[in-house]
Amino acid sequence: MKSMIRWPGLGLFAVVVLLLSLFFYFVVDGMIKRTIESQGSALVGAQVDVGAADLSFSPLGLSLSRLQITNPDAPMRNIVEIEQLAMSIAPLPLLERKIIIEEMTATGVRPDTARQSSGALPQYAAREKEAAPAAKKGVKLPTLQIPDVKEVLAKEELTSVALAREYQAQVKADTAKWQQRLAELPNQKKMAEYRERLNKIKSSSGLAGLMGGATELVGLKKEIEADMKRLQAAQKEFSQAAASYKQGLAEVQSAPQQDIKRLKEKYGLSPEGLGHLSSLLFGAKTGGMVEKALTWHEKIQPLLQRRKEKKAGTEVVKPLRGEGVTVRFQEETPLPDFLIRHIDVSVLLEAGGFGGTIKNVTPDQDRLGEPLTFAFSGDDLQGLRAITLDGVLDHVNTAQPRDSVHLAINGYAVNNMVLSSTESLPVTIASGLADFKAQAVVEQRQVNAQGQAQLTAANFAITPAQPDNAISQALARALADVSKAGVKARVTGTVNDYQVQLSSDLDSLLKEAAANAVKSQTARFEQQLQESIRAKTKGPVADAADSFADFSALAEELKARLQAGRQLL
Amino acid sequence: MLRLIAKLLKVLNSDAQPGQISLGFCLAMVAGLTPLLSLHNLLVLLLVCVLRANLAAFLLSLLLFTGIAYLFDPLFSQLGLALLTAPPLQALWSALYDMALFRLENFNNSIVMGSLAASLVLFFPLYLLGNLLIRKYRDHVLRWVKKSRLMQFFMASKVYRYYQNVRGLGGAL
Repeated sequence: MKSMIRWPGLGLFAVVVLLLSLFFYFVVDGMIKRTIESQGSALVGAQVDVGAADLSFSPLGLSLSRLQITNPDAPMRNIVEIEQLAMSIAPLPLLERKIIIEEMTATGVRPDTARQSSGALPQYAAREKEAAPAAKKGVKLPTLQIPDVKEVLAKEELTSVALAREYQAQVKADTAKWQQRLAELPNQKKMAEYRERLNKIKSSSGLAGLMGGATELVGLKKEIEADMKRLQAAQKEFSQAAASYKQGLAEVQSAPQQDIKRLKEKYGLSPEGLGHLSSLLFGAKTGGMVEKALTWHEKIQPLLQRRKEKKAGTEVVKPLRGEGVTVRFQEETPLPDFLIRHIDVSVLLEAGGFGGTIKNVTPDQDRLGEPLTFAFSGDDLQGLRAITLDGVLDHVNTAQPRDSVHLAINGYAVNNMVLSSTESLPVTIASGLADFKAQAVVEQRQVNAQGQAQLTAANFAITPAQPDNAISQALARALADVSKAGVKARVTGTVNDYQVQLSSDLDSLLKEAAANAVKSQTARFEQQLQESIRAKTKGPVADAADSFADFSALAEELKARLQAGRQLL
Repeated sequence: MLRLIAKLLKVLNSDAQPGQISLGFCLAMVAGLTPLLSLHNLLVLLLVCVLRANLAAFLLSLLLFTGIAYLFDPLFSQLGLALLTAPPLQALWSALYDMALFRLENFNNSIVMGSLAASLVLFFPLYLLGNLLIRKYRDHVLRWVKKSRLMQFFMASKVYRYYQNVRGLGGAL
């Protein structure tokens, strides 16, 4: 056993450990920088850059400078750029592989900055494409342009024509079937044969003739009654089919009117549409803001709640990136694997600076028992009197997450804000002063948000690009005199399928202004639509009626055969 | 590659005891199959230094096992998850989970647990098998190899020249 021990090896071990520690000490900053860049890039789906990382051991802390996070949707811009990020790390939890950052200070935070080079990463572009959500409903924008009837009919299929053709084909097929059946049923010739046999029996004489004639007569009567039953059953069945086809023909004849109504509602300007013309002005902007907010809400979900599953009573956690899975067991004093307790943020905007705090950033809120909260505020900024933003992202109960946010902006000086860039009514607010309030709640993926904006001292700039569009011209004239406006928005639905309803005190003004122009255009459109659809459906509907007439003619034949049978009995 | 083969032959044909070579091989298996930057590998390093494990065998085998470990990771992950979620072992894992040393070891990761368990189970059987094979090799194969035509050819090859270059403190051919 003694020969198995190599005591000088202890010295070798000490030297190796010392060399490894020294190596770690000198390369740790670079390792941290690269880890943050690679893990961050994987999380964001675009380049994350760190200027420099500096790990200090006493007290344990980390400092990052010039952190840039690329916007994956616009790779030449950063979502945010942070000049300096300093944090103090609790050393003891590190032994349990837990990163607990007690204090973090982010200074020089600039949102939406330009990058010197593209931060797009092709390997994540495919992932983004795959994960692209289904088209959202969002804001329904009314149209001011009624299309040409010929264009409408070229791209729309008329259900009345299809219905008439289908009806005609069905009736024709059934007519042929009934003709074949009539051929198999007793006809006039058969009835004549019966009459002949009857006359023969009646003319027989003598006792033997009379006795035989009576028996034959009973037999003949039975034959005629059986044939009459077949004819009566066929007549009943035919009557039912004829009644059904008669009703079908009525539907075919009224179908063109249904087509006219459908296309009028789809392409015409309805009174309901006119009632919300403000969505034409504010819809695109509001819809864009809502979509952006919900997209970012989705993107930060992995930071708020980790993917977990229960297996044999223990919690199995799939890491965001990496190999294997981590199984968690019950702890005496549960702590999240990653937690930033407090972040002081100082944001720099063109308008000036404002600050705030974020608390409890962790993907394990259920372990911490506290939700993420944030509160930002700023006063007397350039072109902005005051702004407050606060919210609670509560994923403590992972089955019932609830995120809420409040935003209030006062005295925002609006300059050349493009509201609508549609060809029919491009609208810009050249100048004005806006107050804005909004609150939103996303609870178990159900969105419920309200917002209202008040615009004063407004100066609208409108230059309709379609001089022949009477509705646009009327709206432009009405807006030219507007100096104040109030807008209310409400968002409901799910995160993936939501609706935005907009209303404004401008609605009645715009409706009144556009009413006459809309009325005359709609009437003209309706008349043209009626004429064109009638012309298109005239032939098929007439063919359908002819086929029904052919079918109905078979009823006469059946009736005649029954009549002949009854005369025999 | 040629250098590695030469080194392997040198180790096998040296005066080193079979137990030392096998020990180096088996310790390298533990370090190589499990994630390299794990706490238990510090213990492996201490054992390699303090016990008379053959260093050359350890380093060569470490290269080999580190290279093939990735192939077995899915298997290790399944094995580790099965062990970590096995109901009879829950009390043990829960107790270890509350100890900082074991948390630092990251034993609750499926790949760490699976690879460590597999390498520890294989450790003694492979150690004994390695001893046996090295003895058989030296008693039978080495003598035959020396006289074989293949060896004559080998002695005239590049590999043999590498072998001679790394011969260092003495070989046995």
